[in-house]
Amino acid sequence: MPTYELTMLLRVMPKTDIVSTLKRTANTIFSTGGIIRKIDSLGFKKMPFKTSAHSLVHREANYFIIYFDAPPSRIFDLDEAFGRDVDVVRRRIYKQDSEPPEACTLADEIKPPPYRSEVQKMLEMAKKAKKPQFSYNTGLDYYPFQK
Amino acid sequence: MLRNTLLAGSSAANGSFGILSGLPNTVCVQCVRWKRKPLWLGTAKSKLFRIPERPKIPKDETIELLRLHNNYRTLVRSIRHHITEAVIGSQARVDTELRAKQEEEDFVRCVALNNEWNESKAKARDERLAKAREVRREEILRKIIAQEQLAAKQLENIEKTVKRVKEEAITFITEKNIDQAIEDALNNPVDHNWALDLEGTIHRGKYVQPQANEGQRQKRMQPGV
Repeated sequence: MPTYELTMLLRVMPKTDIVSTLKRTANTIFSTGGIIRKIDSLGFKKMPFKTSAHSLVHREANYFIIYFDAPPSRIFDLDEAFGRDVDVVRRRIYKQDSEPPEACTLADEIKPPPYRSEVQKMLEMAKKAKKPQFSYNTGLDYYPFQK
Repeated sequence: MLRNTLLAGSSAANGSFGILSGLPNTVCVQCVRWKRKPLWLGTAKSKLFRIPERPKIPKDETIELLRLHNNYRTLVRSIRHHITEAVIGSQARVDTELRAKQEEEDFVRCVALNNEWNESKAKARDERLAKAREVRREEILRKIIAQEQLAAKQLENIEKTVKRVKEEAITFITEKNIDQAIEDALNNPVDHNWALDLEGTIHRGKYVQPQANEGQRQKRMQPGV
């Protein structure tokens, strides 16, 4: 089962209700045969903009991230179930990055452009793509007459 | 234009001026390029009932003309016969038996040549096919080895993943410890809003720290109440 990240904004409510909502969410995940890896609370924060959800206007929310594993075929059902929950203002499920982080190339990136390897590669490509041009064989790098 | 010029010239030459000048007669050329009546217009009204008079040739002259013509035809026929004979006589005679024999020989020679070619081509083809078969065999072998290597690698990856998940499994949150996990999460809010400088120092607190979830007053009614 791949790991997913559920970012969830819960509406303003007492702690007991938050706990019960989180538990409800967790049980929904467990019902699909999934497990939870971690629960992160990002605290109670102002939302970037006011949001209407389930016939109520929200300006603040409790932010949570739940890292969970679940069968990919049930993700749609999970998302739908969370969408039906009246205590959830916003939610979105992302697939966690399983790729290992790339090696740091900052030292190469902060060089001036002509010294960067990728720029040199591009120059090489441009040189290769250049079409052969007619040569006047005058020994000059410009055309001496009016064209 | 040409016609007019020439007519004018001829008239001038034939007129009084021409005689006085003492020049020889100018040739009178009259072009009738566009002046003739078209053929499809039929007979003119004035010429419709005209009966042209038949030429009257005297009897002895007719006989003489016929004689001359007969003579001419006899001569031409004899010359034609003579030339035909000469041409036929000069043509080579075809010996059918010899020709058949030659054809037979040629056929035998062609068959031998063809067999020779077939043999050489078959030899080359066999060599080529054998080489291709060898190449294909190697290619298949290479692919099988690559497939096996890939399968082994995948199996290794799977085993690695299983091992990793088994190690991680002790930290998984299940229905048994979900209450404790929620409690811990609510008590320890995390803040990803920090910056890192080149020395590796973490700078926090520029932005508003998140408030703990505790002490929230419900600001509005429950939905549906």
